[in-house]
Amino acid sequence: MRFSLLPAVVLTLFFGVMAGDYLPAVAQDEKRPEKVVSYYRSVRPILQRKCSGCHFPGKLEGKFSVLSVTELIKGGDAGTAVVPGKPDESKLVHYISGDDPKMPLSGDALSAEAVHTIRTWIAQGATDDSPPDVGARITAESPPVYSTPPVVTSMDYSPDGKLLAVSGYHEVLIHTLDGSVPPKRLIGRSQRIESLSFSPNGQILAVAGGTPALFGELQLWNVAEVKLLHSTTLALDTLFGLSFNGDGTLVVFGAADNRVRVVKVDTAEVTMRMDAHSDWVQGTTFSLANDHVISVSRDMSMKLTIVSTGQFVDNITSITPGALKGGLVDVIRHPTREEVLAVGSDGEPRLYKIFREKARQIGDDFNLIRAYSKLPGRLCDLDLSPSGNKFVVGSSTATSGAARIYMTEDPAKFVDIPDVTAPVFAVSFRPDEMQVAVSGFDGIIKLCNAETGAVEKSFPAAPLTVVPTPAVATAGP
Amino acid sequence: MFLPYLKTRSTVPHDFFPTRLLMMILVNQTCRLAMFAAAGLLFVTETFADEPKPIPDSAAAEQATGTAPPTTDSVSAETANAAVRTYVGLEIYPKELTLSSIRDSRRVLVTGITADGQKIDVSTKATVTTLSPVCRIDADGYVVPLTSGEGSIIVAAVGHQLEVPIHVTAVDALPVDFIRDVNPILSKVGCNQGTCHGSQAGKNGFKLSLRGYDSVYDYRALVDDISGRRFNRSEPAQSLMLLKPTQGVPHEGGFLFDEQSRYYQVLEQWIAEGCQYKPDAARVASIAIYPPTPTLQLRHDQQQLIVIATYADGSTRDVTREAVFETSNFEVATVSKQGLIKAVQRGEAAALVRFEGNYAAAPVSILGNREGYVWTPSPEHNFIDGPVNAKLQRMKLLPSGPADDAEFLRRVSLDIAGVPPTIAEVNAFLADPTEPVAKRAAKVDQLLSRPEYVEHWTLKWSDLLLNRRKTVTERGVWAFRNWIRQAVATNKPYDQFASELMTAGGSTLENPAANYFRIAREPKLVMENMTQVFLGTRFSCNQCHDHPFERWTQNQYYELAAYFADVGRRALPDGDEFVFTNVSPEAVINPSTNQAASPKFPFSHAGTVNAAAHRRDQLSQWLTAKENPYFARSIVNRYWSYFLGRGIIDPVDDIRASNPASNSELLDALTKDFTDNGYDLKRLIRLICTSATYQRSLDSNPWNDDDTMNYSHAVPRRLSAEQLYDAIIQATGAPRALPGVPAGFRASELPDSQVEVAFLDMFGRAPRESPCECERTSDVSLGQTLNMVNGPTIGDAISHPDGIIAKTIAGGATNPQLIETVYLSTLCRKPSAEEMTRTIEYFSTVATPKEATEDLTWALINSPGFLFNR
Repeated sequence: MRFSLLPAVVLTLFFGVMAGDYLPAVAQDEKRPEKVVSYYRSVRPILQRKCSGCHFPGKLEGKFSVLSVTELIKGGDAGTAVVPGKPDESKLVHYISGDDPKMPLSGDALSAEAVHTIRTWIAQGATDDSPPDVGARITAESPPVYSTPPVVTSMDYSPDGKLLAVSGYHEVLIHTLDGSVPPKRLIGRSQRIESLSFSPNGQILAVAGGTPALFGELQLWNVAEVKLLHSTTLALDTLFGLSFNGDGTLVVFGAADNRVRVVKVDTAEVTMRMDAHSDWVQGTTFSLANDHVISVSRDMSMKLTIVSTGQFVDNITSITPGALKGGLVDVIRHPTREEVLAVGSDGEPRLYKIFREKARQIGDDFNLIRAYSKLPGRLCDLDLSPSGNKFVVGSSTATSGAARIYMTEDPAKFVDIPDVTAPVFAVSFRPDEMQVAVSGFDGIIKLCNAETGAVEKSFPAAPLTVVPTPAVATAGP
Repeated sequence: MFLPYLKTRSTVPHDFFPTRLLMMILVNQTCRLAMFAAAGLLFVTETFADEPKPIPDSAAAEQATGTAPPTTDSVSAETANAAVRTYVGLEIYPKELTLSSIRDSRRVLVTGITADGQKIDVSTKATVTTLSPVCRIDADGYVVPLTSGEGSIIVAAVGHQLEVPIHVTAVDALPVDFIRDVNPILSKVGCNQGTCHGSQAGKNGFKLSLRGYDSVYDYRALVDDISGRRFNRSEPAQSLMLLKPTQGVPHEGGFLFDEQSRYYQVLEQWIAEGCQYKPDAARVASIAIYPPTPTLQLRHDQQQLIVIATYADGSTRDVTREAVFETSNFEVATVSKQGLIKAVQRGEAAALVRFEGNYAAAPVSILGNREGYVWTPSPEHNFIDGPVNAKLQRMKLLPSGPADDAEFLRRVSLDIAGVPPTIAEVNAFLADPTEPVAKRAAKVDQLLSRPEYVEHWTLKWSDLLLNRRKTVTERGVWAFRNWIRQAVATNKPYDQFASELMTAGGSTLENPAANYFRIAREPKLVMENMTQVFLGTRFSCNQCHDHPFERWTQNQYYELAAYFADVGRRALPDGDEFVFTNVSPEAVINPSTNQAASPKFPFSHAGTVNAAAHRRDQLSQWLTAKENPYFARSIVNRYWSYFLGRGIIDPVDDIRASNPASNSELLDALTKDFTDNGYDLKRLIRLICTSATYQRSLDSNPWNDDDTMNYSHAVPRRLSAEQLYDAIIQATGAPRALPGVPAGFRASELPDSQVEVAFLDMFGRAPRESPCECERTSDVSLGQTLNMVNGPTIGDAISHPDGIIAKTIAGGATNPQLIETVYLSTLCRKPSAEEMTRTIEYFSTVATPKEATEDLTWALINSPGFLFNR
């Protein structure tokens, strides 16, 4: 008896955290009941705080989501949750009212004021007064305004080497490298751009991103016309690590739902799905023959999958758990051989054979061709030169960063980009192999000589409204 | 069929059980088993009452208007006695506030002084205002600096007010710092707790270090993991790390703070300023709690705490709002997230505070209504009794009187020599007319020179050092036991004893101390055993992560283990082994760095360590130095617990900041005497056993019957397995015949638990697998009860033809003589007149004196007076 008290108290302490009902709007409505109750200002915060931990599309307890009025009306396993105009017939009201309400399952019951607010809103017709979603207020007409450069997560040179596509906030910026015109701005729904790539002919830009914890999005843009051809919402969190196949008809990308997807570029239709990863898939690439995809994940594995069927073939490498906290981050295929380079949290780039020549054993690393010198911190991005002779890698220790150009065939040779002081999240090799672009936490793009590493030009990733302060320009002390 | 959660009853009438049992026997002699089963062990236990004892309610006290009618109801009466609190003034802590940075906000504690001189915390009732331009007052009463200069605040509460000077020395702009400002918030709201993102695998892809012990790791998780996904410099309010805790996006961890909160504003500013990290930012060196020893009177009384952190650069800061609070006992006092203690019921608890890897504890006393309490001076035999009595006075407890001679003799014999006194000893001691204090001191000295003292403490140390044949072979077990015996017999100074173990080498048969490295064969295990036994701390927790309740880190675990990395072991013939110092130490790999740890002590002290010496020599010097704050303190505390039933710090092998001593003055005094006098364990025992504290009666009084931790009365302790076995043999006079050892060996002399004696296992002898004191159990089980009542150990011993009963009857003893003999041999005392009368009555109803004497022996052996050391 004495000890059974303990769990109850622990629970109380724990959920006590969530119990704070800071709802000034509710209180206001309560004082003036004649006033119309706003869904957005009054009802939504209650549901967000009390219900959405379980009833959101990612968890969907009882097949019920509270994130929108549509979903509330639609209801879940228990049927319609909200009947506009009829609070007494609305299951939502029944579930949260009374002395011992059914919901929330854990944590304190809703306050009487909160229940009253919801009742009143339903009685008044359960209208949805939400403004268009927060991201939507950034449009081509009202583009993002930067006081400091955005963190750059992905960059790609156009095949002709004249353009550099750079991730921004809510947009992709396409810089003309001769500086002749201001950057084109490809503004979309997604807050975060995780990965972008020009199609082999340079006409299309594919963008993988999304808004964290809400949705993932694939954007396909006509570069010349700055026109969004397709926007496909997939998964409940962002997409990562996008690559085109050889003829530019397919893109493959990973996602926070641990899934690899292949999408047809012309229709944006998902043609393949693979679920064998156990954690976020952060990098993908097609095999040279375009019949397989290779994917790397935070689950530390690199997996081989058949494009036409989605059938998982093999773990190209399965790294002993614990050896690589944070997993693998990026993978890229050699332009002329069935080999891939992979980078991840252990700081060591490695070259692998895609197809196994020796029977698999648990924990083996038979496919490894060679490993390259380590960079401090975790490796965040990599790019191979079109010939495959060189590759560039960016790394981060969070307080600093590094970028290094390696010779694929000679691990002893490399060139470091000088004076890198901020984490490097994005790198790209110019198709003529003469230049690499490096950027990351500080949002400053450095164009560097691929032979010497010397910085030839540097500029902010996006136009600034004010000059960045030194405090923001570097992450270091 | 174990009976969990049983608490031994401290006050058992001496004559209750035998008499009651005999009555039962009278009623139905054929049902002995059933009746005995209900007796003995079961009778001496009772379930602990669930309901907290009501204490008067301060709210009621303050609401009372004086018109409450007199009543005989005890609770109301107490409340009425507490009367209305009339405040005559205020006290403010601190008396003035100095704010030295724009990020430095502070608050004051407000204490109301009542007409009868009580000090009551009224901080939550106080209003703070200011007219000074140098500061403003936050909604939570915190004083926030605005401009440099002098000013003041007005604190008003319970009808009084005081002006408090404010000095603002600097208000320079200061960016939000990750280590100093951000990480404490992640700890406070619980992001990095073990059930959330601090768990081994993190949660939903986001992992922080457990309770924020690794600020670089946490910074990386927020800033460079997934290329900066969790912050949004372009639009800070859209940062995932702000949307999640405010439930702007779905968050399984729920709603933690809102957009207007201070936490939100700090985090938002940190992001807007570019997510800076200053690795050289000053770290917290220590935290202090005010008031350091909160004392509350009545239920619902409150005490606000203030936590001040001192940083390595000497600056201080009020971190009450960021510190994490817990209570050690929520049945006595709760502590809110804001550091507000609320009294639940009379008793003692600790308010535990954690901030940035630093831990502190404030002992909280809830006095309850002690109306009518008057301290009566209690005798003090030596320096132990002063601090004990001071604590009793503070807690408004009255100590019990001294134990009588028989009670003392049995207690001290069991504690020092592990055996009860014989009939002859009892008679001699009771007949000795010497004045009690001197007589008892002489007895203590006599016991300390007995061979049983050596055996008893050899057994204890064999337990702690895990001597068993499974690891050291049968020859080894005897050799190591003899080494320990020798050390006990010669009263080897404790520092030397530890040092010889730490530095032992050579053949484990020729120098048995080297078995220490045979028992634990790898550096980590040697280190874990060493810390638990010789420092009284548990380092095993921080093998995988930083210690959750202490400052010990994972790195320190491996660094300390590295001192044992150069121990070499080589097999010798005949199961012997040779222990030596390797030239090249083996690598102790720290999994967090994947590199070999270099030897480094987890804390330094002023003692000398020769850095050029071998690793184990260095360790030994560091360990046994007088300046080591754990070494002497832990053994003194451990020994104290053997005699008083509870450590001053308890459990004795889990010393940590969050497990404060119940009487630190006492522990300090004992430790100082120990280190000042050559680490003399016999001296320590002598001091403890001759103190008035040790010699108190088991009987409690109305002013101490709820005391469990202040040594106001003796507490009954169940005899250990070996003590019980040996006591039964001694009480019955049956011959000793244990398997695997020469005839005449007592259970206490067995070399290890691999000598199979089911009785000893049932009563919880230590299996010697871990050096935890908890290995030896004193649980009470039905199995034990049945064994005591009906098992062959007791039955055979009682009816043995060469036993005391048989001999006494053969000697032609009368019934009263028989009865007295049995009382003396079992309970080590003479029967009371009433016991004698009743027992004689009983004898007259039984066919033969033999059967009656056996019944009596049986009943007494099953009584608490025998089963417990009281």
